[in-house]
Amino acid sequence: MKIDGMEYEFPEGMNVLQACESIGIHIPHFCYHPALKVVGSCRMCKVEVIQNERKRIDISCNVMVQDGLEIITDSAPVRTARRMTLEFLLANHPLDCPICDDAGECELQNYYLAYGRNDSRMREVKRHRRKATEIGPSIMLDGERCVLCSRCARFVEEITRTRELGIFGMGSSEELMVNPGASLDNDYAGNVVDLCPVGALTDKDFRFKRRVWFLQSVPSICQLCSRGCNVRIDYDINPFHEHKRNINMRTHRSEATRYARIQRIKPRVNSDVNGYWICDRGRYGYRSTDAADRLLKALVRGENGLEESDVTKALKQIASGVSSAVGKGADRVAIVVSPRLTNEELFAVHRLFRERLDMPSMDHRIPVDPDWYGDDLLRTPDPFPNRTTCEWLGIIPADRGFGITELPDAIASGKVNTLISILADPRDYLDETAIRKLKRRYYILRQMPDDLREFTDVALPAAAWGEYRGTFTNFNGRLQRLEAAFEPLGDARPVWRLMTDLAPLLKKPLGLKSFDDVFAALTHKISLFADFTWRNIGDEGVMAIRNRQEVTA
Amino acid sequence: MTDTPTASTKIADFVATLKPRYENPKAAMMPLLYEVQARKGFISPEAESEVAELLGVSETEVHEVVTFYPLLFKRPVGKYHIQFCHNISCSLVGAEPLIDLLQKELGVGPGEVTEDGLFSYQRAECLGCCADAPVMLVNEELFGRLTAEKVKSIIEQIRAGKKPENDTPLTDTDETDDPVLSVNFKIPNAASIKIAESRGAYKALRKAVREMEPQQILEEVKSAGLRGMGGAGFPAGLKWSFVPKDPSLPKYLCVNADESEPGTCKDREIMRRDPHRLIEGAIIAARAIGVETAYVYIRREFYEPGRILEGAIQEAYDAGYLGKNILGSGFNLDIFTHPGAGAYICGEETGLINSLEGKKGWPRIKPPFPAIKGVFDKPTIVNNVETLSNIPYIINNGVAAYRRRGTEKSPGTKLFGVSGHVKRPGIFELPMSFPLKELIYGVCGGIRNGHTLKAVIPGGSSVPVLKADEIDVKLDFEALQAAGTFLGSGGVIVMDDTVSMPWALEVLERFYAHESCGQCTPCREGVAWMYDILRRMNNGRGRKGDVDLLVDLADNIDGQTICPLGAAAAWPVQAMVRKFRDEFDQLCS
Repeated sequence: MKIDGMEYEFPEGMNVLQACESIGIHIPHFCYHPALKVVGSCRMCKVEVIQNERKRIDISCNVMVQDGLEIITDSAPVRTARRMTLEFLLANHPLDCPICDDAGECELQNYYLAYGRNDSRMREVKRHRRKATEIGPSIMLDGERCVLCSRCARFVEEITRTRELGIFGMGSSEELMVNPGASLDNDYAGNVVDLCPVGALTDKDFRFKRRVWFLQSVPSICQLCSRGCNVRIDYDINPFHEHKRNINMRTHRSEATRYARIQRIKPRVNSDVNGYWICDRGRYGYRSTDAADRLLKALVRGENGLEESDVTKALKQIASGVSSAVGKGADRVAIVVSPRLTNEELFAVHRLFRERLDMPSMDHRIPVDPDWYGDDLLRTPDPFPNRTTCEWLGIIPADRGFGITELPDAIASGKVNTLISILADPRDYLDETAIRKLKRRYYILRQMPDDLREFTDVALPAAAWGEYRGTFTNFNGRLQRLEAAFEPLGDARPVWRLMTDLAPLLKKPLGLKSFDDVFAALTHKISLFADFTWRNIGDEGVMAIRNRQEVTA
Repeated sequence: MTDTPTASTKIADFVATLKPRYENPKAAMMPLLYEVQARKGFISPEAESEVAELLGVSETEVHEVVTFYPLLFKRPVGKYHIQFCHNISCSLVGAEPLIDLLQKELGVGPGEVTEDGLFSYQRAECLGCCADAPVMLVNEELFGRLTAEKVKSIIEQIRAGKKPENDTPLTDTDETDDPVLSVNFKIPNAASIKIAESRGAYKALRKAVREMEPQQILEEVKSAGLRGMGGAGFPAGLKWSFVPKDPSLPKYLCVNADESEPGTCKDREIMRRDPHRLIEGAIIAARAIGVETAYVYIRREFYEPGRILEGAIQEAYDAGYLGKNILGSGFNLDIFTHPGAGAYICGEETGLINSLEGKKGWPRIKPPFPAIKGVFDKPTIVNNVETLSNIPYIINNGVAAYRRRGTEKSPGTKLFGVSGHVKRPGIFELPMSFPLKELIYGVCGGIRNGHTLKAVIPGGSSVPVLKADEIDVKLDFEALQAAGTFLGSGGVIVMDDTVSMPWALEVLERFYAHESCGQCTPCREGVAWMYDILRRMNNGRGRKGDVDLLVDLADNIDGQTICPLGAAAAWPVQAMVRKFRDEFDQLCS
């Protein structure tokens, strides 16, 4: 078939809108969304269709590609149709763009620039609807900005099947609203903000926080369950954007960070992992990176209790403690590794403690929070992003070693007297008596809860999500990349770096100088990764095995 | 009524009787909501929850339906709820002063209830009784040909605890020498099966099931050239032929009895006066398409025609014309009536299908067409009442007999409903291609005394208006199209020299703005905008540029929407401004 005079071939079952997008011609639209049922109501995606020598204007979302079809995406009638649709949509629109959170990423604005630019001919009294209405714990609705595209209503009907939203009434007085008495409160509610093409649905978490044009983005992977949803970290680290005190812009801030860097999390489309969505846990679970209790300096127990220290001194302390413990048997040191570490971090830990120091007591199987649950949409039953690599590397007890479940007995009997807990609060798997009994308690942590200090001998600050690059392997064996958005705070650094710095102090240098070295060594170590380079993993990740679920089944 | 366990048990029983009628229990929503409304007077949020639970749907879906349809009451109404028509045909003959009078008599505004709880009223869009205008419904009873005295007297009688006298004359009617549809219109009690049968009812059905294969019926209707009488004029037999032949696939027939295009009041007369003709036509059509379940989607305001039709359907079951093994042929058919709720858009076939399924009457995008994917996603044919009522004659008398009337492309007859400023408004069956001038000045006796003709809307409110000097046209699909308008539904609205065209247009656009379903942007936003401009103009606040803006908006709504409502709202604007531009310009200087 022909589009704008050029011949193309498309697979059957594709609509003309998708076909045009696939060859780089953007068709403006509001109601169409590839994951939702086609309703064809916004009338924005019109193109000229020539079929059987007859020309008509039609909506491209509901015309299927077929032989002999000819499409004209840009012509005077098409531009008129789009301009008029915009004029109709804007007739009763409040035009409160200066205070609208969606300003800068609003399709009404974008399309008006492309197709509108007419003087308003609307001289009547504008229709009013409810403004700034809280329709759920995280979502605000401005009825006057709504273009009634019904994407959000279709989302809760077709995707979450929770149906909190409806379009009530009829004709020009109808409005989108939550059903009376209901609240838009489900685990995926935040997605309606991404779906909304205008500023009708806004995220309470982001409202009035930053102008979107101040944001920078990096692609990342959500670390809050084993699916590894593809996300984008939207951040702002330009000190000139810090808002003047007399401007009432809300932001979460802390003493440590002066102002928060991550502003919001948005899903990246990946049809093999998360489609178009992320869950609210992943959307709003970013605050730990800029939280007030971030560990920024190393801590070492001295004569006056726990004191700040430089990282090298703390590493030396650990090295000497580990050496003397190992002197009486390598199994006396237990290493607990959270499956939250990246592949590169897991690899460095494994290489040092298992391959070089031959320590058998190593485990990643910290208990799962009993409040965590999976569902049949995106959330998996495993709240850790990287258990797969833990299993592939073998971060489990070796012969004569102790696992997490055996640790309490091993500590009580004195068989284990040194603990290295990496990105895991020891209280998640040991009771306080056991922790007290340990002779040496070394932690690598991102956050340092105050009440953990008394159970600490050395604590090293680890880089938090957004501060490091690396890879995760999701529950399905998919290898995916995280990019760093910004530098780690304070003295924090990635765990792999702490390992390469610790290793020479234990007289076991790893010979890995940079992230690239660690990544390369990782791909040698895990044969399933042999074909992968940082570049060819790409933004969408690659399957390291064909399909893990298929393999186990 | 209180919510006693007994009451809810009963409503559960009611639901149980409804559910088997539909493939999806959600379709029982509308009858169930009416049942709730009948018991409690209105539909409360608690009642919505109860309905949601009974049907296994979400409360949001129920709330969407309840807020969409004007006849589902969200608040209590009076013991006597009055719906007064303010659409074009009624307004032409004085509805507005009567509504003012009613409001004064009752002392309440629209939607409010009198202190004694006795009355409430709402302005209604066309009640489908245009030849009897002005009309109002008091609960389920229609009062027509209203005057100030009559309105006062009806209110007084109700206040006095009496059943108000109803002297509304039976809608005036007449037929051509060679009628097809209205042969029984003047026969008393022709709605009873005995009388209908004595005049030949169900003879065609016998022939169709005993002597004809379904394909033969289809071919016969196709050759007869029967056109769709709901407005579009699509050939009925051709429409049927789009239905997949696969016998294992359930298929549906929907009889479109949602007659609500202002000016149109013909289907009502068929259902009131000769329902067995419609039923017989529907059975034969079902046989031709291979349908075993048919629904008559009937607008709620047709209380009396609905009751008569339901009675006739029951008689047809009792006589073995419906149900299992009809006339021993092995052919089964059930016909169920299904109520609308005051939304014009449900006359559009896909709006009707969605409404039937228990949803808002939002039209569907095509493709897929209903013949492939309609009710419950199964192949479905939606045919107008008048269309189906032609079928018994065609089967009985053959193609040649049917075609001796009308033209090659518009054969047969048409029921014309004439309203407005003629001496004799009524329903008249005339051969297709009958001269419009002859209809107005001959059949209808000309324009009311002392006045002259100004304009005619020949096919229901949406079709382009004809000026007095343009009425030398024949009433058939092709001739009217050549004259720049449409035959539409055959609702002829006649306006004399007293009528201000900007005023008439405001009345029409008020209707379309009210009836826009709200789905497509141009119609939802644009029609309300056009109405606002017209209202302002008529209130003496017109501005330069308004008329051009009006036409530009109409031009950009026309053809830009899922269903034809946008176009139906645009055509009157385009035609009236083009033909009576001076009147508009005068208001905008």
